[in-house]
Amino acid sequence: MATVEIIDNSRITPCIFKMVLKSGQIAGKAKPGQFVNLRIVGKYYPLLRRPMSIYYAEMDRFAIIYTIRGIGTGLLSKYKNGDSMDILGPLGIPFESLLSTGVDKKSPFREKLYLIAGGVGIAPLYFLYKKSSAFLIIGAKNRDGILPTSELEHVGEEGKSQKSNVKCQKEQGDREGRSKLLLAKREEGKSQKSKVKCQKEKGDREEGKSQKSNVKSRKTRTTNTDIQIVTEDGSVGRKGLVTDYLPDVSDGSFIVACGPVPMLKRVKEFYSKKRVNCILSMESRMGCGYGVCLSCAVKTIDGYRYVCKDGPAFRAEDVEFD
Amino acid sequence: MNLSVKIGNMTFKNPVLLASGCFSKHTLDFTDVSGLGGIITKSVTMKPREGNPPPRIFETPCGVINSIGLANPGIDEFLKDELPCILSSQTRVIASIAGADVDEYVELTRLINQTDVTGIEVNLSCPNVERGGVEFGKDPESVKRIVDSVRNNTSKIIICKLPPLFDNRKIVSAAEQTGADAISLINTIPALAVNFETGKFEIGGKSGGLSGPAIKPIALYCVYNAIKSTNLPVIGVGGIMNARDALEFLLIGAMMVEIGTGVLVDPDIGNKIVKGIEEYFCKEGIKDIAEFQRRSRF
Ligand SMILES: Cc1cc2nc3c(=O)[nH]c(=O)nc-3n(C[C@H](O)[C@H](O)[C@H](O)COP(=O)(O)OP(=O)(O)OC[C@H]3O[C@@H](n4cnc5c(N)ncnc54)[C@H](O)[C@@H]3O)c2cc1C
Ligand SMILES: Cc1cc2nc3c(=O)[nH]c(=O)nc-3n(C[C@H](O)[C@H](O)[C@H](O)COP(=O)(O)O)c2cc1C
Ligand code: FES
Repeated sequence: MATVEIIDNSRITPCIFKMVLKSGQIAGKAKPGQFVNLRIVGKYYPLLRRPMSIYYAEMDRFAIIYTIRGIGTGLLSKYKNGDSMDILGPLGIPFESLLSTGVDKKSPFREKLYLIAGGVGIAPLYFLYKKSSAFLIIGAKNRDGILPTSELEHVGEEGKSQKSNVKCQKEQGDREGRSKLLLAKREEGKSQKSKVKCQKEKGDREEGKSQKSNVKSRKTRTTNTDIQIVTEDGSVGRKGLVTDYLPDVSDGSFIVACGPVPMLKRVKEFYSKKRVNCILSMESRMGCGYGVCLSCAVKTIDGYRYVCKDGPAFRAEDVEFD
Repeated sequence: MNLSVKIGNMTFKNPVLLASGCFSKHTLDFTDVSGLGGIITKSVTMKPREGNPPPRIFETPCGVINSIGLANPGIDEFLKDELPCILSSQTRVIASIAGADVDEYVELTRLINQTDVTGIEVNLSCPNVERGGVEFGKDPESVKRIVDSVRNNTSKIIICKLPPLFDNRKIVSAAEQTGADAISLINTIPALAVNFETGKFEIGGKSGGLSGPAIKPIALYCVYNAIKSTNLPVIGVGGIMNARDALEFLLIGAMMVEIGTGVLVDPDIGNKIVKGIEEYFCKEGIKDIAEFQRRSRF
């Protein structure tokens, strides 16, 4: 438990806020997949802490991103730079303990790591992405739910000797004005310098042709860092649901997904017959966030398990959806 | 200044306890409980219990509705895994038990009696299946039968934990006629939350129990009524979030207090409350709790 100073709290898209907090203690320990539990002051309403995934952590600071859902997140958006907040964390089990095989930048497995984010579910995946250079698909309702390119520019700054440079071009709609794809590729330069460039690629999705796009996604995985964007209204990236574009991956790949339950359910189904390691990061209402109250139950093949202490991530084959 | 209090033959260093269901070995990762009066473990049952379907918790203004369904690993696992860890925490430990019938309460008591716990809190907010699911704690006969049987199997202190009843005279005197050493109340208040947009209940098990600051006035009312109708020490529970709240319960005559929901929000709340009481007594030049209680004008 620590009182933590807010360095920055600002809106980064019309519906996503980012809060940067100063705490060497939390940042030093935080690993992708973990979360913090925030005590948002409003006397006794909200009363319980609110869990938020760690979006990134470096040196003496870490960040969260959030959307306004209700009273707590509404008040969270009102905090000013220099205010402080009582924070518990980092909590939960990092992704890496489920991935069992290292996926850091040096690991050969990073080539086989696919991250699938729905909405603000991008938060914990972005942290892993920064550390691992995986293939990332981000889905949202519309462009307002997609991280701005300025955020993606920071990707790669973790590898100290590597410098990265992202340049994204907002593409115009294709001929039919329906589907678009924003693809960011990072090319590693000779002198450990990498360069990310968002390339325009014509979306070719037609109604229900998800298999086709799955093949396409695989084809585009030519460098070690790719980002694919999907929006329901097609306002940026491809049009449709993120689950319409699930990559058709090779055996032994790792998939980590975070997003709304219907998305996770579809991801589980899609990969269930493949020989891959699929991990789902789950949400649940929480009482304590540290394993005491047994509020955050999710149904698994071994009975109820708890998002805050056994998760937030679980093996897809273990999770039982209704 | 002396904050110590006595229940049965046991002295507690101060009147602050962490309530059942809101404390576990995991709490110890975030706070040092050695400065507290004691802690109460999650109610344990004979067999493991999976608990209720999610969602199990829902927040309402200044309150929390929970429907955990007494999820716990069962007595064997509790004695093997949870309790030893908690017993090493340098504070008084009270084990809460929940039985499906008298025999289970007895069996749980026998097993726990062999450990180093200070006492047993008998959770009487469990449904009596034989009597259409009415909670044991609402039926004076059941209270007598259960607590008498518990008493026959242990010499450790016994606390009867009662559900919220506005008129609790009969229950309280039933508890008094048994060998109980104290009464604690209140457990959570039955509550419902619905969502008109989704058309669903907010809690998987439909209804749940309300706790937190929202219930403090009701808890004070029930505790006050209990104090008036018994000579047993009464432990006040419900909505305590700070030293002020705790002092209110002590002022109306409670011997001790338990903190539930407050611990979920702030695992270190117990120490803060002890410190707050100490600071107040120091400022006012109050020597002990009895002296503080003499200040009441009712
Ligand atoms: C491990 C974990 C990590 C999370 N990470 C993020 C994140 O990085 N960014 C982000 O924006 N959100 C995240 N969430 C969800 C976030 O905690 C909720 O959106 C937030 O608690 C809602 O609080 P509120 O007071 O604004 O909403 P309330 O007014 O309490 O409720 C509004 C709606 O949100 C739902 N809700 C409440 N609490 C939770 C919860 N704990 N989980 C899911 N839904 C909830 C309610 O059921 C209701 O439908 C995470 C949740 C978990 C469990
Ligand atoms: C999540 C949760 C779990 C609980 N579990 C138990 C339990 O197992 N046994 C019990 O006697 N009381 C249980 N309670 C009730 C508390 O011990 C306490 O009586 C009640 O919450 C009122 O106090 P509060 O307002 O300080 O929380 C639980 C309460 C909560 C919030
Ligand atoms: S939120 Fe309390 S156990 Fe998970």
